[in-house]
Amino acid sequence: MPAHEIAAQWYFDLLRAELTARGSVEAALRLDYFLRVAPPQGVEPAGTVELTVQHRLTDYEVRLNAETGELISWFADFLAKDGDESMPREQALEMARQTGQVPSDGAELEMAEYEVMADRTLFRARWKHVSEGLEVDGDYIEVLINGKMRRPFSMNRVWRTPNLAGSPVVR
Amino acid sequence: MTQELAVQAATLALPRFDVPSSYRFTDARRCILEIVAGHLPQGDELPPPGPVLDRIAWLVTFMMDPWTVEFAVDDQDGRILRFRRSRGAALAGPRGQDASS
Repeated sequence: MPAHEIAAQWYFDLLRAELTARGSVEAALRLDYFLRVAPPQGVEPAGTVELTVQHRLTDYEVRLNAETGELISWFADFLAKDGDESMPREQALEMARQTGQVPSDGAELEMAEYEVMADRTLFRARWKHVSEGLEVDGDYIEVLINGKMRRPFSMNRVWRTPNLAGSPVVR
Repeated sequence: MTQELAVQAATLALPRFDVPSSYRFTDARRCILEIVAGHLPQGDELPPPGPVLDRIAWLVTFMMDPWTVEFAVDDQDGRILRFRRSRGAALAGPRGQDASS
């Protein structure tokens, strides 16, 4: 076993023992969720082992199409907090349009409004997909923006080129 | 296919999908629908994974408040391409009790 793994195991055992001694058994059980040891850079030198421990600050979720690698969605929780309506709607909409890479053809704006969801204020822009006058079932682009930070914190993009005449394809 | 024919095809399919006759037609709209090639629904099960293609279909909705069911009817030949029911929607026949009885 590499030296840094032995050291990490010792260090985590120590933390668990201390948490348990303080009565925080639940925290001890979830230690791996909040802390992790950064992989060592390059070859490990002999002698003293130095560990870099990283602490989880937020959830960041990305979904990719397993077949094509195409980006489907992302969500950064820490960017969603403490929003307000200070960003003008037109600017928020333009930011959403760029974030979602909304195509110039076939995207029909369904909503572009501020709203309050639980304890969060956010700007939501959503487009549906229309091709040759027909709605493409299931297709949409949705972007959520934190008006105070003036940054997007969520993007969902389900968008396909209709295959009405060709052979079946894997999407 | 006209809307009238699509609604007729969906109405004829109600018993096959165990939808009670008390459901009433509410809406029909044409759209582009993605389906798994070679798969036709027996109920509201998810289709198996596989290559897909698009069809022009009528989405025909029936309602028995507060529940809805939706049929996707092929615009070319009237086949049922997809069937969906809202959570908890009443069933008829062997899988449930007909709400009209």
